[in-house]
Amino acid sequence: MRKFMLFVSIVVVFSMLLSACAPAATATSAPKPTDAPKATAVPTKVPTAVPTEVPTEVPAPVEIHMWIMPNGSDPQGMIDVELAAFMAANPDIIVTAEVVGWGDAYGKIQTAAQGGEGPCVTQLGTTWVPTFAAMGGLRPYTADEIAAIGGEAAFVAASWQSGFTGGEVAAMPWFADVRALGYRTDLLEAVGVTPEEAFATMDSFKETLVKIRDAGLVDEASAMPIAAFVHPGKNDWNVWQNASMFIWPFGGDLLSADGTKAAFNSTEAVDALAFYTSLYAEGLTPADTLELNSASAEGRFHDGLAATYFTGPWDIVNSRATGDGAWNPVVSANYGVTEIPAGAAGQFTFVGGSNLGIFKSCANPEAAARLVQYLVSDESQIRYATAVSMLPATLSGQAAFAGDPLFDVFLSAAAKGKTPNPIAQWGAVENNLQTAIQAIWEDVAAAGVGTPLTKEAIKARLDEYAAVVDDLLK
Amino acid sequence: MATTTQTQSVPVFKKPSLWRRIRRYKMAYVFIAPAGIAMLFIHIIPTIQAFYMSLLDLNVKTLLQFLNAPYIGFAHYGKILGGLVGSTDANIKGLYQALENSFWFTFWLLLGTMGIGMIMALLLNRKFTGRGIARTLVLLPWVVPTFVVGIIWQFIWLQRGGLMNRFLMGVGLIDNPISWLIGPNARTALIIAAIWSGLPFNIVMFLSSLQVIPQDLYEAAQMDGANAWQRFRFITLQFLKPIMVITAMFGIIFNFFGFGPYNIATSMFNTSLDLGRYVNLLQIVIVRQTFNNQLYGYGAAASILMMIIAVAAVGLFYRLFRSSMISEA
Repeated sequence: MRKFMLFVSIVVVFSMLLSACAPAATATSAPKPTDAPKATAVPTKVPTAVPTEVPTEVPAPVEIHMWIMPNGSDPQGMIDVELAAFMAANPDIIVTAEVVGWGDAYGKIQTAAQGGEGPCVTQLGTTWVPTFAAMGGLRPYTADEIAAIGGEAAFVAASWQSGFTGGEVAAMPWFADVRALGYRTDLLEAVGVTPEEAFATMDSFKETLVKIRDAGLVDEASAMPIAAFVHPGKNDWNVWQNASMFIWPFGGDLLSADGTKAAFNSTEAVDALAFYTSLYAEGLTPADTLELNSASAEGRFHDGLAATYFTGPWDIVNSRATGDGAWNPVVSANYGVTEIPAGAAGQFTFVGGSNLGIFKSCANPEAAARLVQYLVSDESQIRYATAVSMLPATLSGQAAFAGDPLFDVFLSAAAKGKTPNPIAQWGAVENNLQTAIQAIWEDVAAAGVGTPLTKEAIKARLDEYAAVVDDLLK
Repeated sequence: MATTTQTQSVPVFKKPSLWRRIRRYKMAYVFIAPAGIAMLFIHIIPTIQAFYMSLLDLNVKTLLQFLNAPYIGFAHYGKILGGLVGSTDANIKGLYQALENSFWFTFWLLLGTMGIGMIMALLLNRKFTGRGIARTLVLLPWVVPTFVVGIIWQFIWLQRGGLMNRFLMGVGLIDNPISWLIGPNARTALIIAAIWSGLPFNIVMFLSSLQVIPQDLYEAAQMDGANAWQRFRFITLQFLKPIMVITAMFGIIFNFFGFGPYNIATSMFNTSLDLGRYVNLLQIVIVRQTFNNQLYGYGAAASILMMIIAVAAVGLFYRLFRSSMISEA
C-alpha cells in the first residue's frame, strides 16, 4: 500500500510540474485575444525592443475598443461596416467593437466608469449620460472636437440636450429614437374619419378610438376583433416613456425645470394619466393590453388586430418589407404614421436614442474622438441610421430622409421632442417614476374594464413616489 | 474517609489549553487554513465592509468617495425599521410589501411542493406497471431551465388564448378571461409555476427516504392491528421527518432569503424590471432599490438586516428540529 501511495505521489508531483510548464509553451504559440490590446497599448516599447526591424517613422496603429448595444437586426455586422469605412480612411487606428446586451450594459459601463476595465468608446442610452458623467467616468469632449463636428447647431435639440450635462458635452448624440403613432388608413376610412381629423388633438384621438370600437371591426384573415388602440402595459421597458407622451401635451412634466423636484404628480400629469388609463377602462384597447410589452403590442398591430399603436422609425422599414410574412399585407398596404396628438399645452413626443461617450480611462482619447467624429458625420449617420432603423441625431443626416412621407412625420416630431432632465440622479428618478406608473397599471387591471381609475387614486400613487424622488433629489 | 479515597482514585481530566489544542491538531488547522483564508476574503471582509457601507450616506453623488462617504450612523437602519410602525415612504412600504410577499410565497411553495411531493412520492413508491416511466416523467420539470418554465407558464396564463382561461371557460367556471399576469392573480400564477418547477426535487428526496423504510415494520404493524393512517403516521412519517426538515430549510433559504423563482418570474411576466406589488420578492426589491435608486448605503443596511433575520431564522429552525436533523445524519 505504501509503495502504491508513493507511486501515486510521484505521478501527481510530475503531473503538476508538467502542467505548470504548459501555459508558458502555449502562451507564445497561441496568444489569447485579450492579450492583443496589451501589445498595442504600449507601442512605444516596440521600437526599443527591436530597433533595427521596426522603422520609427511608421508608428504602430493605435487600437481602440468600442461597446455598442444590440442596435438593429445585425448589430455586429452593421457596426463593422462603419468601422471598416473609418479604418479605411484612418489606417493609423484599429477599432474593434463588441456588442453588449442592454441588460448587462448599464452594470458594465458603471464598472468601467468607476475605474474598472472598459473600452475607449461606449454607446450610452440618452438617459444614462448624466449618471455616468457624475461618476466621473466620462471624458468631456473638448471645444475643438465639438467645433469640428458643427457644435450644438448640427444636432436635433433634444438629442443634444441628452449629452450635455454639468456644463459639458459628456456624450455625443449618435442616433435618435423618436416616437409617433402608427395607424391603419383603411380603418379610419371605414369609420369615416381623416387622419388629420382623427389625430389633431387628444380629444379627437379618443373620439376616433370610440368610433373604431363601436364599429365592431373584424380582421378578415383571422376573424378576430380589431382593437381601437393597443399599448404595452406594466411589464415593459417603455412604461414611463409612453406615459410622458400624454403628460407633456397635457401641460405636465416629469421633474421641475431645475430638476430638483418631482413634477409627475401635478394636476396636469394626473389629468394626462387619467386620460391614458381611461382608454383601457372604456374598452378602447384589447382586454389583455396591460399584459403586453412593446414588442407584443407592436406585433398585435402588425397582425392586423389593432387600428393604432405607439411606434418609432424602425417600423417604416418593416412595413415596406413585403413578402416576409412578418406583417399582415393589409396592414402594410394601409400603414400610416402621425405625430402624437396635441394636448392643451401643445404637441410633444419622447425622443430617446443613444449617444457616444469616451471613457476617461481611454489610453488614446484623440483616436476615440476621431472615431466619434466619423460616426456623427453625414456619411456614417445616414448609413447607420438606415441600417438600424432609427433617425440620425444630426440635422443634416436627418435631411437625407426628408421627402419620404412617413419619415417626414418623425422629422417633424423630432423637432418637438422632449427628453428627461439631464441630472445625475435620473436613473433613480426613472426607476421610481416607472414603479409609480406600473402601480397605476396594476390598479387599472385590478379595477377591470368598465371601472375607470379616479384621479384621486392616480394622484395618491404618484404622490407616494414623488416624495421618494424629492428625497433622492435633495 | 471512604469518600476521600474514592475521589482520589478518579483521574482528573483538565481541559488542555487553547495553544496545546492547536498544537495537537495543527495538521487539521493547516488543512482548513486555505478554506479559512478564502472565507476571510470572499465572505468575512466583504460582510464587514457592507456593514460599514450601511453606516454611510453612499449614493450616486457620493459614490466616488466610496468608504469616505458621509458617515450617518444607523440612520438607514432607523428608516427601514421605522417601517414596522408604519412609513409613508414608498420604498419602505415596497420593502415590507415584498417581505410579506416573500413570506406567503415561501409558505405556499413549501406547502405545495412538500405536500404534493409527498403524495406523488407515496404513489410512485407503490408497485404498478410503468412505474419507471412515471418516475422519469415526473422529473421532467426539473430538467426544464427556469427561464423556459416561465415561458411555458406564460402561455398557460395568457389572458387571451391562454390554456388556463380556455379550460376555465370551457368547464363554465368563468364567463370572461381572467388577467393572470398582471394584478392580484399574478401571485397565484407565480406560485403555481414555481410549485410545478420545484416539485421533482421534493419527489426525489421523499422517494429516496421511502425506499429505505424496512417493509417488515409495516408487516409487524399490520399484524398488531395498525390501520393505514396509523402506519403512515407512526412509520412513514417518522422516516420522512428528517428529509422534510432539511427540504423545508433549503426551501426557506432559497425562496425567502434567495432569489427563488426570479428567473421564472422574469420570463413569465416578460420583465426584469419591477415585478409589481403582488409579485415583488424581498431580495429582488433590495437589489432594485439599491442599484436602480443608487442608494448603496441604504441597500447595504437592508442586506445586513436581512442577513441577521436569515441567521436567526436558520438558528431557530435548527434548534427546533435539531433532533430530526441529527437522526438523519
